[in-house]
Amino acid sequence: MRSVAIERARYRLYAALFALVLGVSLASLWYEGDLSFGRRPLVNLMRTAQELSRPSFVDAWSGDRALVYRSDDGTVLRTEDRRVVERQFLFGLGRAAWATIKIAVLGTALAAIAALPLAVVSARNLRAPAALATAARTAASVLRSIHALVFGLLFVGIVGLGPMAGILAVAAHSTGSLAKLYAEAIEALDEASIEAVRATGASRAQTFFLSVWPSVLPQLTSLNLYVLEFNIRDSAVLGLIGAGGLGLLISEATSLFQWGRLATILIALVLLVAVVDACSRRIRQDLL
Amino acid sequence: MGEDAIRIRGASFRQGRAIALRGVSLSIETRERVVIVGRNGAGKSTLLKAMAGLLPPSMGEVEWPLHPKGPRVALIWQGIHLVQRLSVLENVLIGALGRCCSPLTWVRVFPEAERVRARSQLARVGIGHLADERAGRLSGGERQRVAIARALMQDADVLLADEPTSSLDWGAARDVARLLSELAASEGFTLVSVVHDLSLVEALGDRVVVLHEGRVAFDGAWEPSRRDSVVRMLAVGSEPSAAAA
Repeated sequence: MRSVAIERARYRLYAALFALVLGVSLASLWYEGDLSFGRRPLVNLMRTAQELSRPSFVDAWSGDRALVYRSDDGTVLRTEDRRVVERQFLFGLGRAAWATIKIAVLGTALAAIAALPLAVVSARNLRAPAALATAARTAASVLRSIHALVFGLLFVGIVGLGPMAGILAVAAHSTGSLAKLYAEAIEALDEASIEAVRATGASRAQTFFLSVWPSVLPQLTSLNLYVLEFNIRDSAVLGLIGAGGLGLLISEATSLFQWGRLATILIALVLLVAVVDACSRRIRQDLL
Repeated sequence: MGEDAIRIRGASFRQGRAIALRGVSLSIETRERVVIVGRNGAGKSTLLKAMAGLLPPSMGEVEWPLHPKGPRVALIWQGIHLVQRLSVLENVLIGALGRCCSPLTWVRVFPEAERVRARSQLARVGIGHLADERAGRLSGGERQRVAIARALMQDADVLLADEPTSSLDWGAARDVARLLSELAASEGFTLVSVVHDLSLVEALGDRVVVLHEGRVAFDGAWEPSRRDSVVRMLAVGSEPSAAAA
């Protein structure tokens, strides 16, 4: 038992330490000359906002319909219908969004399968051999500490460009997160109700399948959905490094300075994330 | 009455640094109904676990003369521990796991004979109509009946009940206590229960064992006239929970 005074003193010590870290970080930023927002931050901000404020699909339907290509002397080389072009782009956007969903769903499913044995071995209350438990916990921790984007770079090199690299990247990182979350859910179980089943003379496997598994299944499902929400966002970014999906279009639009298209893509991304989050929350409430 | 079902000779138990029981000797005959009372920390639960063979004594011995290899006991736990997400019937079938070893039980497939027995046990404890409900949705009294049906399913000679009524209101507690006692008489098993509430002693048994600081302070037939002396032995004054009814 610690007295309240000692607890408060500790709290103050940690607060002071945190203040120190903040101060040193800021001082170092200033010392290295990085404490700057560039030459004309406000002008740049306004221009970016302006460029993003005209999403390409709005432009195509409200602005000039014809897109005219001219040579230097003014001769018309080619005329395109902007709406046709935009329609093709939106179709591509839809496909990319679907690819993002695919990467997230399959990646999460793969992670769920891989994380389960790791969690069962590392949950303290299931009393797996200590060496095995430590190995599983270390593996999960390593997987968790490497970002999906970094795994993406590795897997693009291994399996080539495309959604497969994205799926494996999402799966690898989420396996680490899910293993930890699963293990915590298993550790939070009512120990005595498991003990009660074991005491009837049930074998280890019977105890697991008739007591641990049914009690923990709703939580695991809920955790899967929760991680799926994160993975939708992660897999959208994974396209930036060539793993398919919305990120690929983002990287195209930014490298061609097509800010209107970038705005359209971002709207689609926000909508996608919002819909998945809302569905997932609804299902999770229903299950628990 | 007949032979001894459980024989404890000079048993002592350590739990960590604390000594939970010091040289306890106790014999319980078959078909006897014994109630163990005592203050918090007197060693009641330790004694019950020792009788179940879950806790080997650090000194002395615990024997089950009828089954030398190990006791055939069923436990009813303090706080009723069912698998909330399973159905009532499945919870009762868990009592059959000791003799159903098939991996099919992993997916909750049990022999038809066991399912029939489980249903009849539920009917016996008065909740046959709840067989297909989820266990987590039942009231405290109903859940304790499921726990009793699960224990009956184990075909035990001895039923050990640790505070079987502690999480129930008074009416439900009395009903459950009576049910346990009636079943002990009709099925012919030995019933050993631990209780806090002296008003339940009469419903649960006819012999009372008072534990005080790890020793047997009293062991004899229960008579209502003895109540006051038992209360004195428990030194209830400093322990309001034991007096609450």
